[in-house]
Amino acid sequence: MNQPRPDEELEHLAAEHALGVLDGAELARARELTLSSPDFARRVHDWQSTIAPIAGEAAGRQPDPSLWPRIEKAVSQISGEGGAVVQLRRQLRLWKGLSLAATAAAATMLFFLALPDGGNGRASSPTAPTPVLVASLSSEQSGTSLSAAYDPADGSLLVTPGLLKGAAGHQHELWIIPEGGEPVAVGLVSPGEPQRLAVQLAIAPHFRGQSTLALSVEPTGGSPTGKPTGPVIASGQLFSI
Amino acid sequence: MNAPVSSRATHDRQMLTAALAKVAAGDRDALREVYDRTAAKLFGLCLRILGDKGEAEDTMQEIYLSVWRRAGSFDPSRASPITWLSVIARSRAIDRLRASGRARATVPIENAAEVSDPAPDALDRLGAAEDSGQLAACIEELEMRQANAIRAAFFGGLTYSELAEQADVPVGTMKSWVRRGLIRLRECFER
Repeated sequence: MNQPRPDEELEHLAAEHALGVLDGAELARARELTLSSPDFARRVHDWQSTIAPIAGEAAGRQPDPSLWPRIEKAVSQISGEGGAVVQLRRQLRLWKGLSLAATAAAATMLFFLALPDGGNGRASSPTAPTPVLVASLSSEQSGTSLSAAYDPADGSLLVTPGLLKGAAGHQHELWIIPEGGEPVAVGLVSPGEPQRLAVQLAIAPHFRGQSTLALSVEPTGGSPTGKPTGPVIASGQLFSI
Repeated sequence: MNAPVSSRATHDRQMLTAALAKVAAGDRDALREVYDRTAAKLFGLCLRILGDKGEAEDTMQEIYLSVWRRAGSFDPSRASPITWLSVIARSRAIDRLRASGRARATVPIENAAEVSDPAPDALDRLGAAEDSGQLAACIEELEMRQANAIRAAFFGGLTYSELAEQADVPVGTMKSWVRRGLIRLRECFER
């Protein structure tokens, strides 16, 4: 049999996480390691690729011809006229051109980003801007909207709630969801004023283009489990500007 | 290794990789190409996991929307395109299965071992490890109980405790089956 290696346990955990058989404390540990250890995250990724061929056991089956038009329509909705993404891209063009004619929220955000941070004295210079990431979170169903801008220079996330209603006994929690990954808590968001959240170093690598920000309703103090437990009321993708 | 099949697989993989690059640039026709090249395989996977045509179709929509949004993150140096797509598809389908609370009922272990027809899909040739002959041979090398447990987890979204309950063995026993099975599977795919 194989000689036990010092990292054998980690390798097992990565394999099990990729297969999805963990629960309870082991699942929590695997999620935490995925975030804190790039080596572990790489192992999980490799194991996902390793076991992916098992999918080949499922017999191939052509879907109904009606499926593609459905998908095409859905793609149009997220990228077409009036879609959130297009609206956001328009906003981004405006921001890039330093036009302040965008929404009030956008203008507020530029203002905040350009201001030197009183806490640590770091600032995004208006003449040589650090690439920032922005997301527009919205949901027609919940009537929620908020904007977020992440400044990698100082790891701050500026959140501007547009329409966000408070509710007794509940708070709103913001999550970052890396592509193909699990939601990771960023912090609590209050209704009202723009606020600056300090993004923890361990989760900063998740702040990149294509990651998704999502807002969920949680008990006061935030999710007790480390994962969203309440409904997700708004979400949006991060874009680099 | 069969050279003509291999070079055709390489060609298919390159075409799909190129199409994904165009999708990343916002080319909707390229998304259609990705769909045409992969829909049969991924729909088969969704059906196997979800066991319901409507649910599988809804999941397909989510999968290709994900592809549309995330194609830019595909790194051909780390995985073959069909591997990348399979990981997305399985993850979406398992999420849906778990959300519906049907994870136990849908794929009993005894049914999980069903042998599927070869897919009529060109994508079965993509990537050495995806070669269906090699896959079958590698699964064949596992003990039946190891293979069944891994299939039930892969297609049924079952956790250790659920797998152990279904097979009526202690969780520790199930863990050692799955771990040994996964390590052997990897050794076999890497040969």
